[in-house]
Amino acid sequence: MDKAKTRAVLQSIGVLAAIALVCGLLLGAVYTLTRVDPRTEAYARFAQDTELTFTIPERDPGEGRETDYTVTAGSRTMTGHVDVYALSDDGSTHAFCVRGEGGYRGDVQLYVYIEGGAVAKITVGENGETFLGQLEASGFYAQFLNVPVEELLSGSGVDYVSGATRSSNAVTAAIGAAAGYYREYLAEGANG
Amino acid sequence: MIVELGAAGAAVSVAAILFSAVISNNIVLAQYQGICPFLGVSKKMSGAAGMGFAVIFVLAISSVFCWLVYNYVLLPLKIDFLYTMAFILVIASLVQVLEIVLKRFSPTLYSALGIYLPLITTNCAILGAANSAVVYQSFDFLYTFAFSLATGVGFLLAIVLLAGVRMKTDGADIPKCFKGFPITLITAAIMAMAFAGFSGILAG
Amino acid sequence: MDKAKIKETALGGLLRNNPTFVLVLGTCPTIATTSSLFNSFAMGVATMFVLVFSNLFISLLRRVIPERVRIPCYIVIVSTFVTIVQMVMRRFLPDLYTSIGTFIDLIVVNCIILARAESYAACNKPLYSMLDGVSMGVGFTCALCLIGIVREFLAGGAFAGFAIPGFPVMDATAASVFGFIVFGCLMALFNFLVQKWNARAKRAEQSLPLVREGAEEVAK
Repeated sequence: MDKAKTRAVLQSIGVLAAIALVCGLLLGAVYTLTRVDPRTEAYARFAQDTELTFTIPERDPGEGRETDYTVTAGSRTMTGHVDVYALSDDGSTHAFCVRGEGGYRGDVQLYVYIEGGAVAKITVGENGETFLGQLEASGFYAQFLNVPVEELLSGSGVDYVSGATRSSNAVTAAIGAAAGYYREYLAEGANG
Repeated sequence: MIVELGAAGAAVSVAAILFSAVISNNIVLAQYQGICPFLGVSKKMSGAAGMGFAVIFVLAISSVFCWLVYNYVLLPLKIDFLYTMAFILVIASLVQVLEIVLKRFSPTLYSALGIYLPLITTNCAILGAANSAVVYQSFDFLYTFAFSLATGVGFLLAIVLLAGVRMKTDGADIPKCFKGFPITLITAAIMAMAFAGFSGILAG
Repeated sequence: MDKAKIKETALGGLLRNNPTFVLVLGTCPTIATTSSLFNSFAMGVATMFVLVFSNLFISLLRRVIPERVRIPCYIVIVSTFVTIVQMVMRRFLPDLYTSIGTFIDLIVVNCIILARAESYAACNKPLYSMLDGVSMGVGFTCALCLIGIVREFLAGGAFAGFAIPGFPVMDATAASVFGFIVFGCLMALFNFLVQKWNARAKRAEQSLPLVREGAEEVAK
């Protein structure tokens, strides 16, 4: 009696698992077929923001490079990630799609452009928190603009917007990641 | 350079999320999810309240579980495209487990909410809120919990209000072909218009 | 195959068991995605696709699936097809996906699909089940399109995206709230016609006895 019951339970689990496995594999196949290159969207945004042309290369320039950065500012420690890096076709602008951890709605996405060794432009990506607009209005981004990356990373300090600390942290982490990546691989004398 | 934004900033943001989830972005009347139980179980006040509380209960627990599954299982394994399947399985099994647990440990709560639990698996408000908080807006853990709780309260508010109106209109003399669902739909439309009036508060 | 059963299954979803106006299932997409004819049609076809294929596979597996885990099995099968629709739509029709994508994800909890799986596909042969899926799907699509046409006309004096000259644009009626109103009024109209038709049938029955009732018994 007990044996029969165990068998029935095992059979139920087996059938369910088999169906789930087959369905999962099928979906995996469809996913691979319909997937869009994740870089497409970022490259389109780069071109739109800078009015330059960006072509997706065969071999990703970021291959094998470190993408996770720990950013410190004063006593704060944040984490930022470089998701996509691209060089404009005319070679003048380094474009970054970066994420900073810890915003109100999860990660904050930014597009950062470095031109001639200094941050030239910052635009806000998706998942725009209400605070990102306020940060912009209060001149938070402006303090990073046109500052040479060297200087930015020499620890001159970041001024926070009080009352929006989490958003400021995430934005700082994102910009810090782009700057760290630039110094590591792209600046003159870097091993990149 | 320190720019003052006022210390109330963070608190306002949480309140804004909660207010929008309960009133101006009400799951039923502004996002049109969970309409089946909204129309089907709003005939009597007691039924409506029971359904509303059952939804709050399941919604809060299930979206927390969905958050855990999405962030600790699906994302690390890079199979986040399976979220629909994972979430609905989480919700369905959670409803079954809740039913067993309630029956065993709290017969009073079971007799109040029990009959609505099986209906909840196919209530799109539950899956919709989980999708919205965990996948579309990628809230962090506490925000997911607060958002889903507020969404549930919004559902309760809508269904209880509709039940109140329906108890009044039941005896009204309306054309025969409007009796039942059609007049309920029109009532719901008028309620939705009233709720839409709140949307200006956050925009302004 | 039994001809009467085919006819019964094929026509059931269109009128007698119309999922929108008679069974009142799947009301969320009916209200949220019917702002234009195109959106309504896309939503209807997506639902029909999921309905037909989940019915087919559930029916094929009906002797394999154990009684106690049948609901999770149905859910897995249904959500597979929902995810396929979602991924294909996001890849090839991104604009449509941004406007109705949320409700594509929610097809999995559309009551029509689980109701048909449980009440039809689980106890009928695969071909009948597919036919039932097509019939229900067409019934759902037609109802959605009807609401879509009325709403698009009211909001912009347009039909399928083309403006009809001479009609004013009324912004207020474009609001989704009108989904409730138009749906309610059309359902009332449907009820009205059914009541009229039933009354006439009753009168006709009194004058001469019909074999209709008998035929239905045989079909069952």
